[in-house]
Amino acid sequence: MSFEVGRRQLLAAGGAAAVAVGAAACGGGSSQSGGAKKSAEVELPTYKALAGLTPDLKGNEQGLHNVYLNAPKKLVRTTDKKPITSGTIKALTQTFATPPPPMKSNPFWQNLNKQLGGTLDMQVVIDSYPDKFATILASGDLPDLMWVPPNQGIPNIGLMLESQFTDLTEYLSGDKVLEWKNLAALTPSSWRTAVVNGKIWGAPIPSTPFGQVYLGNPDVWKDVDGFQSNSAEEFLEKCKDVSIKGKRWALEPFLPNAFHMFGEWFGLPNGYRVNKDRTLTAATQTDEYLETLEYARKVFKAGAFYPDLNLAETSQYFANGTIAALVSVGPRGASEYRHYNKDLLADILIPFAADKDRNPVYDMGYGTVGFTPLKKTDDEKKIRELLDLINYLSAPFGTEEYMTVNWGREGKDYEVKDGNYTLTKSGDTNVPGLQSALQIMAAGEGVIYNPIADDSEYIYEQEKKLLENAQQSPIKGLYSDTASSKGTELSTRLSDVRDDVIQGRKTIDDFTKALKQWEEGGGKKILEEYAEVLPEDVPVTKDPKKK
Amino acid sequence: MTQTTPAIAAEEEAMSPPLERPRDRKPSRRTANGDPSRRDRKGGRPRKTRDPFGVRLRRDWQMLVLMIPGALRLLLFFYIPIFGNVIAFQDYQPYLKITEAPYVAMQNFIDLFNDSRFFLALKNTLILAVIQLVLFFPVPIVLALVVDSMVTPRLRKAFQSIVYLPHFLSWVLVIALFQQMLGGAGFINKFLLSHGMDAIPFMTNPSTFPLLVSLESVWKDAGWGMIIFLAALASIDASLYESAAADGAGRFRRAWHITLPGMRPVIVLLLILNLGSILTVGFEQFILQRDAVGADASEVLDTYAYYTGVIGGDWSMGAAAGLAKGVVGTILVLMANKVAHMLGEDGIYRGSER
Repeated sequence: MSFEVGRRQLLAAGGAAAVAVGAAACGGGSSQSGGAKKSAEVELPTYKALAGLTPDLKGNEQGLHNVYLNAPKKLVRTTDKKPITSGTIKALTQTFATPPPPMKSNPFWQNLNKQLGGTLDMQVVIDSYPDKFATILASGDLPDLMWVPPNQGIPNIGLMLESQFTDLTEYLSGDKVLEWKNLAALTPSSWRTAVVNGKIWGAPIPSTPFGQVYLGNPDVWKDVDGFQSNSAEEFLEKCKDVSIKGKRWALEPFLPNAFHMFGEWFGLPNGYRVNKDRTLTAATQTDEYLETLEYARKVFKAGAFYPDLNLAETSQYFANGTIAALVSVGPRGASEYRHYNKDLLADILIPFAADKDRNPVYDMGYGTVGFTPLKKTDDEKKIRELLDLINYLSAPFGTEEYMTVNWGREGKDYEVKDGNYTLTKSGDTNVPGLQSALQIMAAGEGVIYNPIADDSEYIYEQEKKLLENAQQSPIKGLYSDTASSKGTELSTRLSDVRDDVIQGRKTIDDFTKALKQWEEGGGKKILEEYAEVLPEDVPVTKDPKKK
Repeated sequence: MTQTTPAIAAEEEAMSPPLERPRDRKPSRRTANGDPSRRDRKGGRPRKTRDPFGVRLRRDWQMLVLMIPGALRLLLFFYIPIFGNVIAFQDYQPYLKITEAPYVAMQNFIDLFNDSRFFLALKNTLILAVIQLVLFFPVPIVLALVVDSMVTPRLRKAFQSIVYLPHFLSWVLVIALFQQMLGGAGFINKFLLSHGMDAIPFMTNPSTFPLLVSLESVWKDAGWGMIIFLAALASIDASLYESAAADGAGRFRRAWHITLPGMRPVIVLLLILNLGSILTVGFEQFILQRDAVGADASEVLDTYAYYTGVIGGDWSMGAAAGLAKGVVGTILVLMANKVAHMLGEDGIYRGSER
C-alpha cells in the first residue's frame, strides 16, 4: 500500500471481530506478567511501501483499501531468488474453502512448488483449528511453520511461543526487515498483532482493517424504501414489513453478530471504553449495552430473525431473498454473493443513530488473522530460508508472486478476460482450497479487486462513509495476563446469558447478575491490566450521546 | 467421547461373544473335560483343583491368541491413555510435557466444586440421563419384539434395515433432519403458519429439550440397539413356545412368560453397561443445539469439559471434570451390579463368593 502508517491509534484496532468474541478475540496474550509492557517497547519493523504498484483508486491512512478496477497490465516482481533451498518445508494451516486436491494430483500446487524451489508440504486443517493446533503442540512434533490465530481462542500464547517457537526480533525489528521487501510493506498496524512479550514472532497475516457490516439484499428491501434506515425503530418496522410468515425473514439467525451491529447504532464502544481518567470500561458494563439488549430482544420477539439458529445455507438464502440481511466480515463481502446470484450486489448498511440524540459508531476490525511463527531453531540459515518463503507468500496484489500463490499459471489455472482474472475449469478445482490455506498463512495487505469494476467502486465509496464514524478497539495489540488465561471462558459465559436474554429466556436482571460474576471472576482485573499498559496516544472514547 | 446409548453398549459388547447368555459363555469343551465349572465353584469346591497353568495353556492357547488384538486395542486406546488423567492434578498446558507440568494436588477439583456451572452441567446430565434411560431403553426391546413377531422374512429384513440405518448418520445430519421437520422454518411449522396457526417451538424450547434429545436419540440409535435383543430372542428355545402354544397360551402370554424372561439376562446386562456410561449423555448433539436452547439447558458434563478445557484453555480443569464423571460412573456400575446380584442375575461380572 502506498501510504505511510505510523501512528499507533490507527493501528490499534478492534480486537473484536465481533463483540461476540469480545475479550476472547483479544485474549491471545502472554501469561507472563509484564509481557504487555515489554510489547509496547519493541521496535516494530520499518514500513516501506512496494514501489511500482499502480492502484486505480488510492487507499488512505485510516485503512481505506487500494482499489484495482481491472487486472494490472504489468506485474511487479518482488523477489530475485527461489526461497526454498532445503528441499521440503512443512506447514500447518487451515482452509475455509472446499479442501484442495492433494499435491500429487494438483498442478497448481506443483507449479507453486516449482516456483518456490522446493516442496511446500502443507497440512490443511478443515474443521476446528484450535483443536488440531493443541494436539500438534502436545505431540511435540511441530511443522516448520504453524499459523497462530490469536482471535480463535488459543489461550496462554506467551508461554507457548517462548517454549516452542523462534524469536524473530533480531531479524525483523527496525530496518532489518528491509531485506524482505514484501514483509517491509506490511503496515505497523498489522505487525502489532505479531508482537508478544516484547518480541516479534512471525509475519502478520493482514485481513481487512474494516469490521463487520450488515449486508442487505436490495431486491427485498426496495419494497420498504431501502435497507438504510434513520433510527432503530424504523429499522425494526422495516424488518416487520419485509417478513412474510413462514416464507421470508428479515435477518440471519446468528445473534452475536446482529447484536454487534445493533450496538453500533446505540454507540457502544469497540470492546472497551477509555474514560477521561484513563481507566477502561467494558462495553458490557455500559448503559448503551443494556439499551441494545432491550432492542435486540424486541427485534427477536418481532420474529425478524430466521427461526432456526443452526443455519448452514445462510448465503444461499440471502442470495435468493429468503433472508433479507446478514452480517459480513467486512464491506468487501458485498460482492461475494454474486457467486450464488450473479445479479446480486449487496447493500452495505452504514451505521445510523438509533435515536435522535445518539452518536452512531462503526467498529474497525482486528486487521489481521494472526501470524505464522517458526518452529524453535537456532539455525540462522533455516530462519532466513523460512523468512524468504514467507516474504514470497506475502507478496501483495499486483505482483508476479501474488499471481503464483493466488491464481496459478496464466492460460492453465486462470485467464485474463476483458481485463479481468477468471479461473479456468481446472483452476476452479485446484486453486480455491489451497489459495485459502495459503492466504491464512501469509498475505500482503489487502486491496479491493472484483471482476466487476462497479462493485469495487461501490465498496470503495461505502468504505469512505464507514470511516467517518470508525472507532478502533483501544486494546489492540495489548495483552492482559488474566484475559489470556481466563478471558475466553468468562466472556463465553456472559455472552451465553446475553443470547438467552435476546431470545427472551432470561431477563435483563439476569444479565446484570451475570455481569457481576464476570467482574468478580476476573473482569475487573482484566480492565485494570489493560488500563495499566494503555498507551498514551489511545484517545478517550467519544461520548455515545449527543450533548 | 463416545455416545452412550444401548446401541454403543451393544457395539462394545460385540467385541466379545455377546450373543449368548453369560452363563453359557464358558467353552463347552471345558465341561466335557470335567473342568471345574463356575457352577461347581458355587457349590463350594476349592479353586486349587483347577488344572495346572501349563496344561490350561496348552489346551486353550488358540483362545489366547484370538484375544491378543482385542487386548492390544484396549491397552493402547483405553488403558495407556488413562494415565493422561494425571493432568487433572497438574497445571497442564499443551506445549508442556506431562512430566514438566507443575503439580497442584487437588486444586483443580476445589475450583471445580466452587464453579456453579459445573453443578449446572451435573444437574442437566443427571436429568437427561434419567429421561433418556426411561424413554430410550425400552424402545429397542419393543422394536425387537415387533421384528420378532413379523412372519415374512422379507418384511422383517426391510424393517430391520430401515430402523437401524440412522445409526450411521452423523449427529450433524440427524439434527439437520430434525430441523427440517420440526424447526421454526421446518416442514411442520411452515404448514401451521400457512394455515394461520402459530408456530410451535419444538427445537428452541429449553423446558422440552430433554424430550427432544431423547426423541433424536431414539430415532438415531434405537434400531441399532435392537440388534442385540434380536440375538437374545433367537437363542430362546423354540420348543418352549411350542409347548406353551400346545398348552393354549396366546401370543401375549407367550411373550410375557417366555420371551421376556428369556431376554432378562441380556436386558439386565445392557442396563448395567448403560448405567456405567449414563453420564455420557452425548456431546455433538448438545454442542449443535446449544445456541437454539441456550447453555443453561444444554450444558452437560462433556460440553463443560470441552468449553473449560479445550476452548477455555484450562485443560487440567477439563480433565478434572472428566475424571469426576468417570468416578461417578464407576460407582453407578458397581451399585447396579450389586442390585443385579441381589435379583439373582449375573450382571457384568460375578461376585467371587458366588
